[in-house]
Amino acid sequence: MKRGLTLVLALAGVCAAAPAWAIRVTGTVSDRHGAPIEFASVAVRALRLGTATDEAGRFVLDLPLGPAVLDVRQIGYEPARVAIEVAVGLAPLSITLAEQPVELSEVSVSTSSFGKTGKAEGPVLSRRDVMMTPGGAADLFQSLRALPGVNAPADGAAVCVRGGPPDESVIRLEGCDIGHPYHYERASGGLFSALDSYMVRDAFFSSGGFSARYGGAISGVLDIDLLDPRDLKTATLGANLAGLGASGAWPLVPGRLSLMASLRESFPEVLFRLYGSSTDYESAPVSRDAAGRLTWRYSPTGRIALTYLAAGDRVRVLARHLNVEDHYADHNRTDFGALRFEDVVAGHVALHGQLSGQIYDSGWRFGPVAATQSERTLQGSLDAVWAATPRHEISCGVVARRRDTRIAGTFPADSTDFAPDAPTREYDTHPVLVSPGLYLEDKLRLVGPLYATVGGRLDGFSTAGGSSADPRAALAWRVDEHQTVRLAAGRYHQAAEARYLDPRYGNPRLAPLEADHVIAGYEWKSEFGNVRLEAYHKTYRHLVTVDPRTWYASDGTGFARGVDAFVQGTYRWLSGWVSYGWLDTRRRELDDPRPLATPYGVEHSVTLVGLYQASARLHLGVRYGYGSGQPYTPVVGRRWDAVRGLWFPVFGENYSARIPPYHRLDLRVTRLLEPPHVLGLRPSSTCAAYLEGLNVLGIRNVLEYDWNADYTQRVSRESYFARRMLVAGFALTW
Amino acid sequence: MSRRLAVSLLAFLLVAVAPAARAADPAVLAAARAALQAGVDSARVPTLLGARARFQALADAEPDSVWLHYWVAVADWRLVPLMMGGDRARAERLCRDGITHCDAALGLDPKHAEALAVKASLEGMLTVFDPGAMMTLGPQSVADMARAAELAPANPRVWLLDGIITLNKPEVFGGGAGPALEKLRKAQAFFASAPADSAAPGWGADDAWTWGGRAAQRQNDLAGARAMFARALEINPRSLWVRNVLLPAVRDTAAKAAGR
Repeated sequence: MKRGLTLVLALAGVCAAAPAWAIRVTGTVSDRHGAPIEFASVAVRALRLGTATDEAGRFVLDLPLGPAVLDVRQIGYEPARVAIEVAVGLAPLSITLAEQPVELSEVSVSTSSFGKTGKAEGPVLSRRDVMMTPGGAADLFQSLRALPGVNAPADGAAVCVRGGPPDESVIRLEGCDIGHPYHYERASGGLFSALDSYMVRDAFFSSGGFSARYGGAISGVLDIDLLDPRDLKTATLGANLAGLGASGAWPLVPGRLSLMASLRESFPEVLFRLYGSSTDYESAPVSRDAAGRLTWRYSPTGRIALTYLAAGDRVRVLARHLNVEDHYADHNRTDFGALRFEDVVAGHVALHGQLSGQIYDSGWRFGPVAATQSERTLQGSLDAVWAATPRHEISCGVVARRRDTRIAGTFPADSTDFAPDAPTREYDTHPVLVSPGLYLEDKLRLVGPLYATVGGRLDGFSTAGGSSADPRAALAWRVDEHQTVRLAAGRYHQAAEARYLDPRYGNPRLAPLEADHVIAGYEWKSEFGNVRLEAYHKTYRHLVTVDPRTWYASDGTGFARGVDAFVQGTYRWLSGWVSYGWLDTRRRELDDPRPLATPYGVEHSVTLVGLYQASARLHLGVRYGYGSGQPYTPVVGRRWDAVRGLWFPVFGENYSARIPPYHRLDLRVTRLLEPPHVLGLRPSSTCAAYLEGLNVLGIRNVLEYDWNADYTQRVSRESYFARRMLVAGFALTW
Repeated sequence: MSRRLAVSLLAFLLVAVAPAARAADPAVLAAARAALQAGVDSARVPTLLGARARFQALADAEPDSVWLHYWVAVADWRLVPLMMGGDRARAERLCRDGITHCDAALGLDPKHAEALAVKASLEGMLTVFDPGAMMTLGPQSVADMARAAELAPANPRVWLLDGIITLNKPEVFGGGAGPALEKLRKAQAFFASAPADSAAPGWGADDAWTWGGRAAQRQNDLAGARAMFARALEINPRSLWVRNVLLPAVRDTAAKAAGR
């Protein structure tokens, strides 16, 4: 017994005294300049051991012999993982942590040409900026107009990037492509977003050089993620002179199941009655949208979200096109549903899977035209991100899309004759495009402050019967804590517009449009501000041209080059930004064999925004926007057609004239009020009341030109905000 | 018999020893808690940062420990107000980091009321760095605190944190000294009646009186404030903030008022 007990005590002693066997590992944690980092944590997860550095950045750990992995981190620095072999005589370790760039406040909209790299990259507009900026109507797409790279002409909210038409940018919601996310889409490509900004958590916008993750676009990407409130129970009711809306979030099962929803309706009739309208509406335009998101958290890392968006609008107006004035009626309706799951597998790989479907229907009538368009889109994708080593983050994914488009109706036989009795032709096109794709990308730290993203994607195009291979790469050199220099280059493809691919009226063998991007940028960031300069060059190939034998061909070319500058600053209660874009673009496409300017971008665009928080309850904002004139094709003469008994236009060179520059100044005052504590309103309820002055200088900006019946007089079609308007409203949250 | 006894004893010792070698050492944890309290008492940022780093290291080593994430968040919550006037960018990072640790704790235990309450407090602080986020963070903070109170209606630290938020919140949003004092009095009562529990986090009893005194001070109840600060000092005589700042200030104000 005595011997047994001795053995037990000896074994117990061995166990208890295990640390005495350990090797004392010492080291220092410092920054890139050699300065010690105090209070950094040093942990060995496998052994469940941890310590912290002292004021001199030193640490001591007692570790057993053999391999060990040290996780080192400190706020403000990028975490490091160091593998060591613990042995007798191990020299003191020297661990260097790289500084993280200064993060700005809550991110809502960010731009970067260098891939979706998160909060620390590119100019940033906060939620406050989106909600408080005058003239933006708290609209996500309108707020994008204030950023460099979106050289959108006039009032429209369509995402026109660096001279490319809106369909050259892909818009994603919850990881799935969404088409037609606008209200009043035929007005300057869409006036407002069909998605309530309340629902948006963040939006990544890239004006070029974007990562291999994004396919099907040759100009830009807008990737929107929705809020993911956990146990939030709140409701917001808002109204102004142009509409009303309600939104809210409810925890159906606390910690597990939550619902977020939004409903809006706009009816600008009151505004038109007060201020008059630049257009003669038969009935005021109406738009409605509803969105909901149901999120189920089935585990600490896993969640499934079901998102639904329905939006519609209608317009009936007495409108003019060329020399014809007639009734124009238009209606649009879109239903979008997405199912998304996210989880972490094997502890290291983040998986995102998405399934979505969209139904879009629209119809319009004007003069002899009566047409409908319907689209049915299905998409499925799976993305994985694997932090393979501290230096490598591998992303890969697959996607498959099917888009079924039908455009049918009666169109004028002559595109310059819209008289009610004009000869017409019937048109019925029904192209179906299936495009599978896959990508692989590695974000890596090359050496020291040099980072790279290297990747590529392969896409297939069923109608064109072809495929594309797109290599993409970006390089970032973090000069110091504040400055970063970047270079990006890549090849991009997308299918031609559906109507050009129709088997009867188009050419289904069209090659995908192609663009090469080269971008160089410099960025300076601090807690006080953010400066970004970017120069770019984009080369287009396989643009669609008119061909007498095959209807359409793929031999168009073009380029876009320019400079974007963005300066954002904050000083005490004052914040704001200035953005400037210079664009030079020419495209040889459709029926003109010469390289021409495009109507989707302007040469110079400037936006100045200032926001001042006068007190905790009072916020003031000002925004000034300028855009140099948009190109248009002038009418230089007229001819009489005896058969039709009408005057017809004689056009000048395509896009050889310019509309006058666009100016607009908007002001906004927002005041937080104490709502009465009645009707069960919680004391924490807030009410924001605002007064917005739109186009306070009363400048009658021109959108387009039309003509009188005999083409002797030009008529300006004015901006939707061509009159001074005062809009009052409120948002009550409880 | 002796063999059976030896095997049993060995099994017992192995079980007893093994967890001690793998789990966070209670002594290390106690030392980190003591360092945190020392940092709070002296209002010294370096001491608090040191304590936070210890908790962070332990949480990194044992990422599935709810309490270690909770303690990092508490350290962040203590640090943010002290750093806000100086290194504001770092303070904001700490604030966001604290919320991340609360989320980690809640991911492991969704009904952890104290982690929810700390998260609510940090969300409230975050609105100071980004006032525009008030429309989203404000309701989220209120919702998290309400859920914490629902989960643990007699937890004194939940009432304490709720009281501090309420005191710092503008009256327009339902804050102010009056409603705060009500909550802080509840915290004081629950601290007084709380059974001795070595497993509980064990902080905040003096804070309930300190913040109660601050609320009374805002109401110009100088006698009440003085009594509460005195009680806070009885509980924690090392609190330099109460001893050297709050109590003398309330005495000075009282003296000036008497001299007038």
